Amino acid sequence: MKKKHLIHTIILTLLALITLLPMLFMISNSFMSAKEAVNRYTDLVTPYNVWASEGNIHYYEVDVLPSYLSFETYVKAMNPTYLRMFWNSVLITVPILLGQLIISPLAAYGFEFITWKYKELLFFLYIIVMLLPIQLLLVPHYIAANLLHLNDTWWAIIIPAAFSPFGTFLLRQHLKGLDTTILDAARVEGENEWNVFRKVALPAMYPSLVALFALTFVECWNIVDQSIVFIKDVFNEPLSVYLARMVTAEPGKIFAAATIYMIPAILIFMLTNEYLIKGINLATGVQS
Amino acid sequence: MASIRLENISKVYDDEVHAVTDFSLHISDREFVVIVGPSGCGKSTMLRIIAGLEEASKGDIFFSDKKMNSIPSRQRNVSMVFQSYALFPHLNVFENIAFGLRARKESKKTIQTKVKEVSSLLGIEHLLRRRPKQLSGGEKQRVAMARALVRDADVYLLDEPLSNLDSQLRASLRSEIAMLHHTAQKTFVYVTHDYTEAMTLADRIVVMKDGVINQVGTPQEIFDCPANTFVAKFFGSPQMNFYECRHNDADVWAGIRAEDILIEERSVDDAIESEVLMIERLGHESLVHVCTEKGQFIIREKGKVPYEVGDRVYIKPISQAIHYFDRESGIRIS
Repeated sequence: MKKKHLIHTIILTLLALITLLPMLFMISNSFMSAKEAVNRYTDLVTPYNVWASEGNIHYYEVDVLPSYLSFETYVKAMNPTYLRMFWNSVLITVPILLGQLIISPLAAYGFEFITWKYKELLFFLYIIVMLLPIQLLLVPHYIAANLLHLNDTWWAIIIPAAFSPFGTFLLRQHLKGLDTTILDAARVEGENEWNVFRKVALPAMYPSLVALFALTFVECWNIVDQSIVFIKDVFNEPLSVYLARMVTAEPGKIFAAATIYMIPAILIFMLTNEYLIKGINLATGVQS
Repeated sequence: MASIRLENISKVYDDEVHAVTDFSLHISDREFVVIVGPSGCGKSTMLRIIAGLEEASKGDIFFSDKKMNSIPSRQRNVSMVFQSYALFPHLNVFENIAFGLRARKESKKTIQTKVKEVSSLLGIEHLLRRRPKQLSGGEKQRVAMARALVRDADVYLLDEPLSNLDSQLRASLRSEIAMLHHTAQKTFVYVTHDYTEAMTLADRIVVMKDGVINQVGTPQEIFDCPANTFVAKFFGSPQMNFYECRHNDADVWAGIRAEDILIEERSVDDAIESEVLMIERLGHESLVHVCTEKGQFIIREKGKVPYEVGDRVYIKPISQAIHYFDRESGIRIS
């Protein structure tokens, strides 16, 4: 049994390392000077990497550790354009999160506990929308945004994402495992349906709501396709799209820029870790 | 305070499952009525209909002559204890008990006083700051009772409140509930599948089977004069013994309780010869299982018995204690 446990630990540690390696690589390389980063990872032959070229072949001098520690790229990365894009990402993400966290619990409660005609049919359509890849949905979204004159505004991204069916699905799955007698108890105790939702169902959904918050945040923070389709003005782009542009435009700063970009997501994961796992377990029926 | 009048209540799910059929009953003010029956007999559905958590498919429900059919649960002023206790997991015990008072916009001072009063009545003052998951089964049950009793409700509904507890705790809480009813002087409707609870608590018992009332009466009436073979079997442990016989020139079922059979070592008039199959020695009494040509019988004897498994004995039902039931319908023949 102990031997089996040891093998499991080794395999899982290896897998975790493989997963973490790109992140570690990015963070450690962010402490290189811009010059070192450019010389190590650019195709251009410079006096610093001339040894790495043989005829037409050019080698990258990949290294985990920088030659010497430098915060130069962090200072350079935090330029006004970067901060503007960072703010753009915040302004896109926050309304989506608010929308999801308001709409999803209400919709999930309505689907699960209120009796109305065609609700299962509508829920089925919800699931279908959830299963379709975003690239497929972009066309109808684009047509709708055009009709509503929302193209080239963040609303074209925010509105469909705020109404995304995933949150409703996740929370409804959680509600399916809920002991419904607590709702009955609240009704008998004299509460109307809105208060039953607000005072009993909503607090019961808390772990799944936190999980939804974390998952939605990561999805919105990393939004790329929607922005490419809807946002034409480069100054309105979110940071996720700007990062891709930086790889070619400012390769020296990319590691520091990417590290800063990652911080909010990591912070949110660390803060919500406990509920994230519990919430997903509750919604998927692993835990009741 | 309220009396309850239920008139021809029926509940049908999805046009095919008949949970309750033609249920009519009048429950007087301050009465303790126990609805008893096996699982799935519709007793909990009936309670939920009274609470307003389910709508009756047919029939009318009145609280003190006021028709309640379309009145939502929150306006019926009923209190309910659920089988699973249904405590709000995110609130502590104090807030759980105060929930209904807050819903009724009672003042902070009133809430404090009432919660304190009821928690001292149920002996849970030391638990007020705890969350439900930090409580034992018995404590949860007390909190659920406190939440129900803290409000001045017209009717108190209890849905198998003791079924999740161990037998010792069940017995002690059973007597507490009886005392609470005595002190509170309110109308109680209690649902259970345990006949002992029904016998010890009820002013009147309603026996249900397959959604239909089989008998309504005081515990003694139900025990002494069961309306049919189902009621006769349901009330009493061990179950009433049944055997086929002729009575008034008709083939009938005869039923005799375990304590109404005498065991003789020698043959006497009308005694049935039998063989001892098993003896359950319970200390204060013994249950002797015997096999006869009329079938198996269980006989209750006080204290120890001198028999052993395999002994031949003669059993004699006390003729005045025999209940006769129609062979076809199972209905009592008076």
